[in-house]
Amino acid sequence: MKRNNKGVLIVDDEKDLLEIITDLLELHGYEVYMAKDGQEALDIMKERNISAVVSDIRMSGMDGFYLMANIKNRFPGIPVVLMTGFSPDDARELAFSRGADGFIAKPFHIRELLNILDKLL
Amino acid sequence: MLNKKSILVVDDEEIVRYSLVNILRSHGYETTEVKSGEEALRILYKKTYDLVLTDLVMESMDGLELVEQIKVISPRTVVIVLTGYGSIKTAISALRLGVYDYLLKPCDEDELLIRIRRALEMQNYGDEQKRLQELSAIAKTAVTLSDQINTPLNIILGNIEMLQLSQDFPNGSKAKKALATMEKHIFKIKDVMEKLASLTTTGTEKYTSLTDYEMIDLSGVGKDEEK
Repeated sequence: MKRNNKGVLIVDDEKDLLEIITDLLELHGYEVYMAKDGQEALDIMKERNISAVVSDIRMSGMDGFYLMANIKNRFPGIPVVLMTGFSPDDARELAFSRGADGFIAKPFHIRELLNILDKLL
Repeated sequence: MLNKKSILVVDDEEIVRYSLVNILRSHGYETTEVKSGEEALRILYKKTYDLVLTDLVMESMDGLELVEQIKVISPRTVVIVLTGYGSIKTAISALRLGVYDYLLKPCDEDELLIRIRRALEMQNYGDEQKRLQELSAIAKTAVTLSDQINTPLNIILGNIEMLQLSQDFPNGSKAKKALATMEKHIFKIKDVMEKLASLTTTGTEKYTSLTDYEMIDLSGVGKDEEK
């Protein structure tokens, strides 16, 4: 799978998670950017060529839903994948009903995220 | 009656106790009778009753003093006081102390049963509300906890996957097997968290937004024990 020049932005307030997901996606050919919150994510999106965003839902300040609404408004066409560690079954349903292009429940294998991104990009 | 409700009857007049106990037992209530406030307290220290039906005017400990003590020893117990026309003012004071209702002596059987049923229904409603509040709090904790556990699990899993890709751990090596075992158990923890969260949200209000959940900061838990 050719993934060169596909910029993926990962947003999560947990630094260790950002780093390991970044390393794994980079090993699989993606160019990855990290943001620790919603505001930083929007700032990066203005500067960089981002093809997809993968964001945590529960974050301090701007949460994943609010960030997604901002992205849909300011950067239409860029897919947003929401991820969460919240267990209830309907987290997935809620994410899609709010406009997410993909959903992934933590903890996940990197191949699950790769499958979602490959389909979207 | 599915669940026998327990009633403690307190009156220093034997004939009154006899009459009340007969009525209550014939309507399926589990009844104990005592002739003084002191005896009532001794029993209440050992056993919880759903309802106490007590005379207000008794020798030594009066009904008001007993009511005050019951509220401390057994706050869930509903109290109904029996009073004569001459002591209605005292009955009103008893209501201020948290007594649910009062009955005038001599009391009519139907009236007695209606008041008792009403008091127990109110108690059931209170119990149910409390249970729902507790369940809701547990559900919120479980759901929030699932996020705080699943994120670190994801970090561990990611690092395992990174090690699995490393040339240092060839296929078939013990280290590779250890990584696979760790990976398997990460998903066992995930399953437990999912079951816990779905179990505790059943029957309570369904959440409408993940943002409704307050983050519970558990970073300080256990620190005192470590000292």
